[in-house]
Amino acid sequence: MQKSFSKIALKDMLHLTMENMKKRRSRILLTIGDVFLGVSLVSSMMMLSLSHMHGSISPFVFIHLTEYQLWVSIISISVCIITIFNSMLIAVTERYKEIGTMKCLGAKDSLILYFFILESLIISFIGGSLGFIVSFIFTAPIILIQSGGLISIQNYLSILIISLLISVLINLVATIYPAYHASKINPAETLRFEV
Amino acid sequence: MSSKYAVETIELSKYYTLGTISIKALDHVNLQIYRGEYLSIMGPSGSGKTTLFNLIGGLDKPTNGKVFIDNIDISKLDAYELAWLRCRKIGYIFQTYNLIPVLTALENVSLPMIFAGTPRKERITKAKQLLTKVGLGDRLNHKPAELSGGQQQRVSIARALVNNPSIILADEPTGNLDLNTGLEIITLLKTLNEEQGVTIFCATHDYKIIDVSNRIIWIRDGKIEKVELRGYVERMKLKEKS
Repeated sequence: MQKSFSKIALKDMLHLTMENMKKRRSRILLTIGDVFLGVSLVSSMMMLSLSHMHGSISPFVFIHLTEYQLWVSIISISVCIITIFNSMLIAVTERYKEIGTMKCLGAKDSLILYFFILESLIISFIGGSLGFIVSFIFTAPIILIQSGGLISIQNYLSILIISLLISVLINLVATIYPAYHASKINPAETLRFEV
Repeated sequence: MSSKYAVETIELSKYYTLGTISIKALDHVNLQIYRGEYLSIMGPSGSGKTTLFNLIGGLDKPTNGKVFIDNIDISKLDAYELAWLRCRKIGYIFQTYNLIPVLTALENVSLPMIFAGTPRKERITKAKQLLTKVGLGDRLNHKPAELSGGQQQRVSIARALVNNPSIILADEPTGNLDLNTGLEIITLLKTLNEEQGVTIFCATHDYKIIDVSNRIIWIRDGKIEKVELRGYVERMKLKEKS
């Protein structure tokens, strides 16, 4: 007897995730806002730290942060992780019955895990890019006044990439436990559970 | 193991421990379900109906005993294989419908096929065909919130049938429905049972379901109290009337 699953197309998973995000947009928007605030703070710190720099600038722009800027960034990232973690746990509880039903219908544990990770990736890309754009808009005048010119495009690019990486990292760290928890839900339990 | 059984349980037991007391939710249940049979199970609350359902459906592990579905011993399967089994061999109908609220009727029905990895075109054709069969051909793109209770239950019946399972487990399918709608659902299940030879195992308090089933199993305190054939029940009813 062959017991293998065929691979589920990314398109189908994306569709399911998007439908779910559309339906629960208020919580998703809050999470995006959260990521956006955290990332915009960190990336504006990076932009400001480069405004006085002359000579060679490392592509890992965050090493040019001052001690103060570094601490502010670390604190904002930590707060961000905790709030997303909380929001994801709520998301799992909210979908408790739904997840149980899906598992009853034959969804594998890993599939449930992928749903949450996919959702968090989408959130982190939207939040991260928004954060970068807004921090650019706000810091550009300051940098212009302070040093008479903007920092180079290459530096902006590396800041963008690092911001997105930080955003993805924050989200993954915060999502991995709730998603794992969701994937291990006992479907028999959910059928008894009345909301 | 003869293959005329869709499901067979051998000395199936499930004990729960509450504090220091051990409760026998199911106690040495031997049950055979034939292919193409409409079987009902009756019993008061707490008699072990749901436990039996969870064990047959591969949602729970028995303390003792075995469950065979299509001659596969499901107590030996791991989580991955159980998911496969639930996907291909078992269809569920719940009292509370349990449709995914964010998806349309068509998407809800195609969900088990997504899990099984059926190609998209085939999925849509099959889901449309099944929804038409249960009488919802004009409601394909409605979400569960836009459907009535009876219609939602029809969607969930279509969803249960979609991967051609060996058995359909229905846990109080008419529990949340009014008399007429309940009767429609029962008639639909009976039609599917007669026309397509779908095996249906149905837990119920509803005497309307008993009228259409081939066999009725009475369960009490985790043990099978008696098994009745339909003719017998009908005779008893006539006696009560006269």
